[in-house]
Amino acid sequence: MTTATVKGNVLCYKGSNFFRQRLVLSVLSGKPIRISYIRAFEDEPGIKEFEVSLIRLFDKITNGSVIELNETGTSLYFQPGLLHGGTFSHECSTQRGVGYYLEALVMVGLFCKQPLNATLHGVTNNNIDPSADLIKTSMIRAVKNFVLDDEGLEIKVTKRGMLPLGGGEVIFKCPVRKQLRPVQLLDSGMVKRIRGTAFALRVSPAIANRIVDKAKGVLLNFLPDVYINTDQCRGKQSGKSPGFGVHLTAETTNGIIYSAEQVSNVVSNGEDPSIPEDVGEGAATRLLYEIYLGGVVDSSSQALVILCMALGQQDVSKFVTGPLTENAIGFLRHLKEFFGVTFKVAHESDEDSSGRGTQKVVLTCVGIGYKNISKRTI
Amino acid sequence: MDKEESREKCNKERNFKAFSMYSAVRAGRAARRALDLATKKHHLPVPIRTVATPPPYVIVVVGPPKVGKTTLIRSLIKHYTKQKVVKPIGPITIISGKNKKLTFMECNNDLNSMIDLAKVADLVLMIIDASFGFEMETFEFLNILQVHGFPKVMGVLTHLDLFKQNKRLNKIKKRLKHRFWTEIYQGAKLFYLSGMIGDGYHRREIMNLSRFISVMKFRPLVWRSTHPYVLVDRVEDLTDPELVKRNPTTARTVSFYGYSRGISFKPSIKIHIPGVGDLPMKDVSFLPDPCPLPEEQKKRKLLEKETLIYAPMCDVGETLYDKDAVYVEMGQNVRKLDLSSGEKDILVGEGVGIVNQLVKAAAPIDEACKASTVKLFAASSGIKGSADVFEGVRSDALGTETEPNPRIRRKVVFSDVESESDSGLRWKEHMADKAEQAFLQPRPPDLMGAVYNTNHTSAINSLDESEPEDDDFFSKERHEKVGDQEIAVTEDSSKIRETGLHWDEEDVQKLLRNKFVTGEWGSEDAEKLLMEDEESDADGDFEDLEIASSEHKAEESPRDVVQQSDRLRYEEKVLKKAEFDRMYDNKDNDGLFQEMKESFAKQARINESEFENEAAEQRIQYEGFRPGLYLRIVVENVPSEFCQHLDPSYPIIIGGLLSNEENIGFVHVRIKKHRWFPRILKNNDPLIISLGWRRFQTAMQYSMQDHNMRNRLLKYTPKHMHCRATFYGPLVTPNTGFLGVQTVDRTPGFRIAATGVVLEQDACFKVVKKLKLTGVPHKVFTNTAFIKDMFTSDLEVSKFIGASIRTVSGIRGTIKKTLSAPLGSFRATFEDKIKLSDIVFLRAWYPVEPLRYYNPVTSLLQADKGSWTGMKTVGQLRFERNLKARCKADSHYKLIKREPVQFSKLTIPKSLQAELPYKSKPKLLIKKSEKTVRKQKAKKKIFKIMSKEEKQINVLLQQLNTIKNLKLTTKLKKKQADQRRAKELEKDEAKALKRQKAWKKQINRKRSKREGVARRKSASAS
Repeated sequence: MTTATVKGNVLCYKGSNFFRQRLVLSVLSGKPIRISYIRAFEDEPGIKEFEVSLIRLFDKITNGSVIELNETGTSLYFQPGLLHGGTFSHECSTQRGVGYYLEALVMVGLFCKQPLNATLHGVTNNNIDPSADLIKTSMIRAVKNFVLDDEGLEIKVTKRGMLPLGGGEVIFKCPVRKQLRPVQLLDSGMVKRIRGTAFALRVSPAIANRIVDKAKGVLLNFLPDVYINTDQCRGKQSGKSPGFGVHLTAETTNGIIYSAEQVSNVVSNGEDPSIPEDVGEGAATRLLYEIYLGGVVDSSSQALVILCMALGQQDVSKFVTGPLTENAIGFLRHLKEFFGVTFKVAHESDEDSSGRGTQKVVLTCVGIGYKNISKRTI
Repeated sequence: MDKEESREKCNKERNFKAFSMYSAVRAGRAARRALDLATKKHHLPVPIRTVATPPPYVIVVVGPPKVGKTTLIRSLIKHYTKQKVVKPIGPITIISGKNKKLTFMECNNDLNSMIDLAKVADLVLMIIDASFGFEMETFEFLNILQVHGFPKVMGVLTHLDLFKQNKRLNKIKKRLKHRFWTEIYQGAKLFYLSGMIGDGYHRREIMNLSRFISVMKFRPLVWRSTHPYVLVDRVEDLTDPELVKRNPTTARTVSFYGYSRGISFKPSIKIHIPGVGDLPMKDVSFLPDPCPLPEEQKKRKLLEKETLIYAPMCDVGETLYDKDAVYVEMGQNVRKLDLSSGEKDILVGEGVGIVNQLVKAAAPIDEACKASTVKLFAASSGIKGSADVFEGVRSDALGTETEPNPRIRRKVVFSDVESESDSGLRWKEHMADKAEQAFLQPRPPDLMGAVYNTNHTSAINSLDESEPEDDDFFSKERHEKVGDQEIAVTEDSSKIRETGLHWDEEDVQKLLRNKFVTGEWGSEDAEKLLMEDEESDADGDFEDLEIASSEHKAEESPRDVVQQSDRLRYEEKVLKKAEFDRMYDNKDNDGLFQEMKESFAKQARINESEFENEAAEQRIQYEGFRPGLYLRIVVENVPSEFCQHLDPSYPIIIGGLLSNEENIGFVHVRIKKHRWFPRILKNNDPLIISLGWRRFQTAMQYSMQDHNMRNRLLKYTPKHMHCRATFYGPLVTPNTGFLGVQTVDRTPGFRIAATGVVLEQDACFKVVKKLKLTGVPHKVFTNTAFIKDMFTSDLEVSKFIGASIRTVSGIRGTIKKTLSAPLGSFRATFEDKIKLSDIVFLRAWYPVEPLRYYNPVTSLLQADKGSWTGMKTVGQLRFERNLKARCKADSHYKLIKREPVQFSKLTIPKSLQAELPYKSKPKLLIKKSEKTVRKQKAKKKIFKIMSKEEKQINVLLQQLNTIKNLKLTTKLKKKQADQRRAKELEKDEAKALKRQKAWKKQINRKRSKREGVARRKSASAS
């Protein structure tokens, strides 16, 4: 990744990397950004459809944003307005899942002027992005640690949609908060139960049962308390394309949830057709891997937790995670550039870690005292 | 009965304790009241952000001119440090106690400095001339304080010696005290300084004042506990003198010095210097405290040499230790050194002494260095030093530093092994070991470097480096060319790509066995605990204790109590005891309040201890510069006027801005014109606003919110009411207070025009004013009417189709469709028939854009600091140019002329009159017309005296007339008779004709009948 060069008030980046992080942080910090050389030397230069859709989404939730894109789409200037929120619906690009957009909304949702009530249409489950279910069990759960009153913070999957046509619908509601509180979460506890949901869209419902059987087979080696639902989606609820998948969660004695998921391959994209048993086993393996990585949040919420810690009040926050993902490391670097926050990243001093997964990472930081300046007072 | 009552009363008086619980209701009420009072005392707990070594408290001395501000500061400094400061200018920091520092600052009467100092003062000493009473400045300052968070205020009455009579003095004291209390709070401290002795106040009184200051407690204020700031006590111009010489107006590089205050000062934040503007920071570093607290805390009192004073802006202490230099103040007149006599050195200060020694030295220091020798061993000869030695050492040090950290790339590849071996299962051997190796052992020691040092092309501890090869789709590492370099592209997804390890292997399963409740529990493992328990039981001598007999026995060894029931009972007891302690030991047994306080205290402990053991630089990296550190802030591009017109008596503040606060947008506020400000404020007039750290001029757009949340524009602020206002300015957190003044110069009267609070901010706000369009009907049907003159074109009408309209009489309707002619006319329907004379109007709301005007007050850049003028109000301009307000001709009020209404005469038809009863009949005679009256009068009045001839003529004429009249009448009669006869004849003829017709008809009928009969007969006959 490249580091930012500062020209006046503008942070200048190069390349298409971490496009979403940069936009999110720009909106939150109020700093304008300029990104150049976006896939400048590729066959299809410039920003892609899903990124355009993301910019549109940011245009919808902000007021007074200035967006300048050059003709080829290889250079973007984004001057953020104030976060407004409110009720709206957004047609997400099918190139990426709804989760790609939802994650950005989860990051900025608490700092809007009006409570968010967003309806996102598109692909709810794919193999690249976290699905709406995963965001619900992992990220929303993580955010709830940072607000005292989390009433109205919810995600509802009303329709599922798979690649290539999508047709899914997710409703995301988020209240408005003035500030985040500092959190010290160090103990993850032990996994006490595993739950999950398997779904089969526009294919035989027996497939869901086959997934459940296999996933259970793997997980029962570790824990007897495994229960996986099958979600029967009918008619419009099952979207436009066939497919199946499973989403698994593991809850610990301290109420922390690890989640993992896997969906079937898309045959129309030239991939091999998936076997339900493989999907079930794959999801179970991923869940065990998440448990193995450990921490107080699972790997997909690391960036979100890092953001919430940095934006908290001027107090020390402390969090234990598994090894940092590339996404999280990128986020840490970007946070330093946008907000000047440096995290203390250290390994957990482990006394008795045999059989407890990887060595954990302790993230410590002092919040910047971010306040929701869009919020209205009476 | 009566007797009994009196006896009871008597008993009650004699032994009141026996009757304490007289009424349950009253007792209940009393309890409730006590609780109410207790709750009232609670303040919302605020996060504790105090540090171990806080910055010196800022004590600002305020008052109108000639009340004794300077004298007070001088006396206080004399009291604390035994030093005499002639001219106390700028912040003066002193050590007031074993662990307390104070900074004194005098506030001049410029409104700009009053505002700035109100934002940083921890304690305000408000000096009031008792012989004069309160002055405007005092009240102005109090209002400024109220807006920017109320720090502690202590009043000081001076000039009390001017009162000759004691009685009058007491009266004045009392009056001033009560006025002061109404302004601050009942019981606010007001200090009396009875008079001067020499050039200072009484020593005893100053000592008392200092004691009051030392016990003062400071409550954290919201703005200051969320923003870092520095009260600058030293300014140094770092610009190259050569550049300044060439171009005196070149932008300067200035270093500011002062204690970090508020919260931690982060090097990455933006700063604002009130009076100068937003400036970029080049460098922040901390220096050793120039006024350090004494280290030894054994003695009760401070030693005289520990009472330090630090005041670089006024002439105290001549030595200054900077980051890379030491400055020595040599005084105004460079004294000529008398090398022969050493006595003079005793009299001069430390710094001058150093300079003198340097000057006296025979050889320069580098030569002395070369000449000097160091003996390492007693026997050996001395080693000669040289300047090169230092250079060599330095380069060595650099060499070791620049050596890069060796980094080992790790890769977990499972399928690699498979290809090498013949057996498909061999790769599974030592699975766990390999995984352990991959994930646990070779860890880079420096995670921080891996994350923040971007020279590492990819993260070391990243998960994504260990790519499984079975998934071809993800294993391709894509690169992107960015200008002249190439960077790896990531998927931009938070989901990890790994599918994990092969968990069906026993060895691999071991890796996370203990992450499940079915695995080992470590220290809290039930089995282990039980074992321990048993062991201790076996060792310890078992006694059957009687739990009930004594509590302390049970406390001694709870483990000895083996029986489960006893154990439970013991635990219950412990809990009960803790509950009892909690209830009775804490005076505030309010759960929620206590809980909040405890959580804040806990957080404060964590904040304090978390980075305690880190190195200073690391700590600053994480936390920023803690409050209390002495900072040196280098700022570039400072306007040259700042250095040219630097006046240390004006406070220089560096205020830190939070993220987003450097941006500008529209701010919506609740505002109230100050009740003492003589005029009301006009819409869109410029107003100087002090909000947050900033002072700026902006144009206010006043509005009032209707019940349906619509903001309606106001032309002027209400007199005694809050209203809303929108202005273009920097964004701050909502709920921040602000104040507005029209001018900052020395105008007489109360200068604070308005105060208020920020409600919200956005990129745009909708403030509307009413727009009434009128039209007239030109054709009216029953419920439909054609209306013209409201719009000028069809396009306009089509924009308003469906809009509701109304007539003056209140009949409502809607616009339906455009009409072809006349232009701009339309068809509208109403709920009832409207009249052609009605006026139809349409009520609409027109959005008004606020002016985008934002102009920071740059008072510190002025030669005359108080003379800053921004945009003037229209009123001021008119006054200066002696202009009258323009007014349109049709806006004038004119005398309304109304024609008296002409009602038509009431006429009752004669037929109706005839039928009316007598009492309702019009009885008055009909007024005759003037002509007839005149005629009649004339007739009456004319009397002619006629001669005989005339009489005869008259008679003859009369007779002729009579004949003529008679003839005429007969003729007329005849004519009438003829006519009548002719009419009658006609009538008769007509009658006859009718009769004839009837006859003919009858005859014809009979004939035809007869013929018919005959025909039938003939027919029948034939």
